Parts: sequence; structure tokens; C-alpha cells
Amino acid sequence: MLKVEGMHCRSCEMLLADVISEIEGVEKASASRIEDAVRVVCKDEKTLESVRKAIEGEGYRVV
Amino acid sequence: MKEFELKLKNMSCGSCEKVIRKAAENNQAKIKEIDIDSGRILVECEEDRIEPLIQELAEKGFGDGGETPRGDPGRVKKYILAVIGGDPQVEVETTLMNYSLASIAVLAIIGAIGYGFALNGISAESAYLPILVLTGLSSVIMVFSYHHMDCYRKTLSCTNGMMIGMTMGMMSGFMSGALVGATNGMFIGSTAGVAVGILFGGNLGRYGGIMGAMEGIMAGLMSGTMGAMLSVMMINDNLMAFLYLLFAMCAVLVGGLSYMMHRKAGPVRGTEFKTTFVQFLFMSVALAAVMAALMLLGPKGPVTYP
Repeated sequence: MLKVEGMHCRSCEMLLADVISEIEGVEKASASRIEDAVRVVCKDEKTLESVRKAIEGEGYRVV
Repeated sequence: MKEFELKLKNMSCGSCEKVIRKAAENNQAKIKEIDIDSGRILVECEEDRIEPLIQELAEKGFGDGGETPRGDPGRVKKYILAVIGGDPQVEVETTLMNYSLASIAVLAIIGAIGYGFALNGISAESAYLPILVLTGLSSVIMVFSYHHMDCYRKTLSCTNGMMIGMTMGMMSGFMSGALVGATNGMFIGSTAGVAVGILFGGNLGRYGGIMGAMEGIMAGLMSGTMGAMLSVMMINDNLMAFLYLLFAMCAVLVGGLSYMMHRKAGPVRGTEFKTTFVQFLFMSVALAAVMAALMLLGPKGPVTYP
């Protein structure tokens, strides 16, 4: 689970879940603005790093 | 290729725009214009692609989506059912509702013990009972709303801050002013009402800036004196019956404030909610105890109930 700041509506959740799901090696992804969190199931640390970059690339902050 | 103008709901930010553009891409459509404020988009696509696009946008929450129109009581009913049912979107409200019910139970036990022992010897003790019940209930109502509104402090707009300051100042000042005014008269009642009103209204309103703080303080000042004045004026004219009505309306309005914030500022973030049950209970009991002590043992004015 990654703590992510900046989500404030349903679109933010959908966008992040979508962008992360498209990354190779990601099996499952969901985002929650209520918890300020993104849940990812991925195969290795390298994929997780790509997930972090993708989140930052959309303008959100991984804390 | 044809151009279609669609009116969408719930667009609020850049992410919404990205999600809409992605949906258009999925349906071989091109967004030519997008206006987040008005919810209007201009789409270019083949005629047979527009219906699937509208369908996908509705699924993503931008269409009607079964949402009832503004002003429809169905929206409020949906919110209430979500709170009672423990919907994750209103998790904080559900938790606060549970805290409130548990606090009322604890206050009832403390009240029963206090009524059985401590009130012995106080003249007209039975007449105080309904006033003390309302004191406990009003404390819980005020503490519920205080902790709920406090969750929005970091993201409060000026308008919402003013609304919170005004409603909280009004409701808390009115309830406490009316109660203490009934038992202790105009001076003590007004002073207590103003103090509680300003404490709640000003303290919560300030998160919306100086306008919210001023609104809260003014509401506390007015409602504290008005509550006490109302009680003193109605002492010989069905005061208790009116207080029940007044408190029921205050509870509805405080609930309305919670709903309003849910609609205007969105669901409370779980990370912003830090209140534990012990804190909630302590604040409710402390507020009720201070008011009850003032009512039973404080100085009395020339015209008081009972």
C-alpha cells in the first residue's frame, strides 16, 4: 500500500487505478481518496518503483 | 464524423478531464472542447460511437448515473441510509453516530446515578429532569458536529467556513442559552449561551478564515442571548413543550450541516478523523456536567424555571 496525497475525487481514483494497471508486472491496483492510499499487487520492487513514478507523473505525491 | 455536445455531471478537476479523454479514446472519439465549470464537452466521432461513449461516461460517474436532481429529498434519504448502513464513503459519520449513541447511554447512566443521589435535597428536583435530559442530548449533538466539522479544517472554503461558523454558533448558543436561561434567568443564561456559541462557532468558523470566525462569533453572541431570552419569556407559556420542539429542530439542522458538507466538500478523509471514543465521551460529559452544575448550583435570576 502506498500513501498518496492529492486525490480529491472519484476521477483521481479511477485515473490512478487505470494508469497503474497499465504498467507491466502489475496484477491488481486500486486507489482510495478516503484513505489517501493506492493498493497495488505487483511482482517485484522494480515494478513498484515504476508505479511510484507513474503516480508522481500524474501530479500526485507518494509519501 | 459528426460533432456532439454533451452535458456531463460531476466534473471537478484535471483528473476528470483525463478520465473523459481516455473514455473518448476507447470509443474512437475525439474531445474537441471540454469545459469543467459548465460540464459541457464537444465530441467528434462516428454516429454509432456516441451511445457507447455516453454509456461509458455514465459508468464512470459523469452521466446521470441514477443521481436524483438537486432539491430532491431522495438525496438526503440516501445519505441517511448510507450513514446507518456504514457505507465506506460516510465511514466517519457512521463512527460519530455510534460514538453519539454510546455517549448518550453513558450520560443516561451517569444522569440516573446523579439524579438518585446528588439531586436529593435540591428543591423541585423532578422538574429539573427534562432540562437535564435535554442538556445531555444537546452536549452530544454539539460534540458530534464539532468533531465532524473539525475534519474539514484543512480544506475549508471561505463560504463553507462561514456556514459552519454560523450554524454551529447559532445551534450551540441557542441550545445552551435556552437551557441555562430557563433555570438561571436572563443574565446567567445569556452569558453561558454566548460563551458556548462563540466557543463552537468561532472556533470552527476560523478554519474558513476571518469571515468564518466573525460569522461564528456573531452567531454565538446573538443566539446565546436569544436562547436565554426565549426561555425567560416563555416560562409561563409551555416552555418545556417548546424546548422539545426547538431541540429537535436544532438536531435536524446540525444533521443538515453534516449533509451539506458531505455534498459541498466531499467525503471526509479518514486520515483527517482522529477522534477516539474516549475523547468524544469526555467532551460530551464535561460539557453536560458544566452546564448541569451551573443550572443546579449557579446563581438564579428573578424569573426562573421550575
